[in-house]
Amino acid sequence: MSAVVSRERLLQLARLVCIHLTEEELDQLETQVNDIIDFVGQLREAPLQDIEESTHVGPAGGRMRDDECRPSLLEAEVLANAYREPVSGCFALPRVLGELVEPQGEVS
Amino acid sequence: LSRVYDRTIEECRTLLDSGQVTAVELAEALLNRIDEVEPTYKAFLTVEERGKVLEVAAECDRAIEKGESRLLTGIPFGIKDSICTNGLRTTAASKMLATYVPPYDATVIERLRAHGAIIIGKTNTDEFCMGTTTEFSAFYPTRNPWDTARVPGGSSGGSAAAIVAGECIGSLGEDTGGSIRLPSAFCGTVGLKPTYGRVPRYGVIAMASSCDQVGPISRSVRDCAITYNVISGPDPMDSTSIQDDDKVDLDRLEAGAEGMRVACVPDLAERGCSAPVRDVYMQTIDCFRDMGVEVHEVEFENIDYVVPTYYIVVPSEVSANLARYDGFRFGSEQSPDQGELWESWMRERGANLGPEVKRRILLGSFVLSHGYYDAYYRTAQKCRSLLKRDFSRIFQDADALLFPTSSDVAFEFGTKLDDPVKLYLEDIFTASANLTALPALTFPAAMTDLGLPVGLQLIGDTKAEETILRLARSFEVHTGISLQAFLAERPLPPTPQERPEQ
Repeated sequence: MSAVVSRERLLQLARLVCIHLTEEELDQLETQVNDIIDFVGQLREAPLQDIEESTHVGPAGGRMRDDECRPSLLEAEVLANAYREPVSGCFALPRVLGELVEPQGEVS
Repeated sequence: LSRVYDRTIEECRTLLDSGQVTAVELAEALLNRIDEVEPTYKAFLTVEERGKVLEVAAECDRAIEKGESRLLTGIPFGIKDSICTNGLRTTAASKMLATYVPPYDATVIERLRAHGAIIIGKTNTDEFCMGTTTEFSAFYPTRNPWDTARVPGGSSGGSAAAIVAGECIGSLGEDTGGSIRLPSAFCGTVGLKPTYGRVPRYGVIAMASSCDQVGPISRSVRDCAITYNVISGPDPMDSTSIQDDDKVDLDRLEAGAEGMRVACVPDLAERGCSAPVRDVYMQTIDCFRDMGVEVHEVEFENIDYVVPTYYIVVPSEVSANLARYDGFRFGSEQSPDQGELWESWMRERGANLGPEVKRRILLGSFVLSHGYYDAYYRTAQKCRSLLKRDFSRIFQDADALLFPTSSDVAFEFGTKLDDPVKLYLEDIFTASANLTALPALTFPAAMTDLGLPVGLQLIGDTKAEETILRLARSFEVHTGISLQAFLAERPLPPTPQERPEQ
C-alpha cells in the first residue's frame, strides 16, 4: 500500500497546525500516520447504504440558554496564567503587524 | 481504626457520622498513606497542601458536629487532572499546562464540594487523556498497585490506582473511549461512563467534545452510584447537558436482577480476548443465569468498525480542541517569548506537546482536509449511526449488553508503545459506548491466579444508568466479588516505604 500522507504533506500539515517537528519525529510519524490511515480505511467496507451521518449522538442535542448577564471571572483571574505581563487587560503576544513572516520550505 | 484509608464512601460516612473517626483523622490517614506509597505508585500529579486539606477537614468536622453532614462531608476525593480545580494546579498531564492554575471549578467539582467532599489531589492521566496506559503522561507513568511492572490502564489510571492503593476514598475519571473503564478493569475498581450529557463537561479540559464524559471510579457499586448522583444533572454551562435530573435510587439497586434481560457475545469474546478474560466472561454469563437473569446471545454486527470510526472522529475533534494551546494564555514549561508569533507557536507546540497528542492533531487535520473529508470524517459519522442502529436492535430484547472491558488483563510497561494501531485496538470493547452516547459500567468480575483483576462491562440503553448499576450490584452481592474482597484476600505487595502492619 502506497503512502497516502507523503513527507511533504506531513510537513504542510505540521505548518497548518503550528507544530514544529524534528527530523526524527517526521521519520516516525510518516510511518505511523500512514499505518493508521491504512487501518481506518477499513471503513470503506462498512455497509453504509441508506445510512445518514450522525451530527449529534447525545440525547439532549444542542440547547440554547437565555441571553442574560451573569457573574463571570474577573479579568485579573483570567490573565493570571498568561505567560507575558498583560497589557491594558489583554494577553500580550509578539508583534504580528509590520513584517509578515510566514514559514517557507523546511519547518524551522 | 486500622487501614481507615481502605474503606468505602459508605463505610466512611458511618464512621464519620457516628464519631468513630473525625474528618481530620481520616484526611490525615490518607495524607500519610500518600506519603508512604506515592513514591512507588505515582498515582498523583499534584497533592493538595496538607494544611489546606486539614483546614477543610476541620470545617467538615464542625458541620458533622452540628448535624449538618451531607452525602460526602469529609470524604477525600482524588480528581483526574483534566478536570479544573479552582486554585489547584491542573495540567492534564501535559507540559503545555505545567503551571496552569485554574481560576474556577468545573461544575462536577462545585457539586462535590457542595456535598462536602475534600479534594485531596489531582491524579495522573495520559497527556490530554490520550492513551490507555498513563505512559503518555508528560511527567511519569502510574504503576498498577497489583503489580508495579504493569500499567494501571488509562487514561484515568491515576484515579483507579489511587483508589486501590488507599490514597483516596472516592475519585473522578473522564472517559472519551474507555478512559474510566479500562483502568477500572485493570485495577479492580467500579467505573461508570454515564450517558453523554448526564454529567456536565463545563471545566473539563476537552479532548473530543462529542465523546468526553466524566464519571466515578469507585471501590463499590454503591459508592459509584452515590458519586454519580452528586455530579450528574442539568447544567446551564453545558449546552449538551440532559435536562431531566433522574437520580439512581440506592434502594432499588438492592432489588436483585431476577427477570432482567442481558445480551451477551460469546463468539466475540472467543475471537477477541485472551484466555483469562474469555474464561471469566463465560463464567459470569453462567453466574448471571444463576441470579435469575435471562441471558441470550446476540451478534454485534459492526464491531470491527468501532476503532476505525473512533480514530477518525476523535483526532478530528482533538485537532480543533487543542488549537487553543499557544503558550501565551496558559502556563507552560518552555518559554515562548522569542522571535515572531508564528515561530513561537511552532516552537512552543513542538516542544510542549507529546507524541500521541501530535499524532492525533496531525491525523485529525489530515482527515478533515479538503479532498479527504468525505472519505474519512463523513464516513465515520455514518458509521456512528450504523453502530447506534446495532445497539437499538440489541436493546429491543435486552436491558443491557454484557461485554468484555478489555481483551486482556493489565500488561507490562512498554509492550504496545511503538505500535499505535495495536494500542488503539485496546479500545475495541469500550469506544462503542462513547460513539453512541450510551452509559457503560465496568465491575470487577474475578481475580486471576497471577493476582490481576479482570473487569467486565455492562452497556445500557440511553439514560439507563440505574439498570446497569443494579445488575452490577446484584452480581457483587451474589458473588461477594469486589475490590474490598480482593484486598482482604490478597493484600497489595508492600512498597519499600511502607512500615510493616502492626
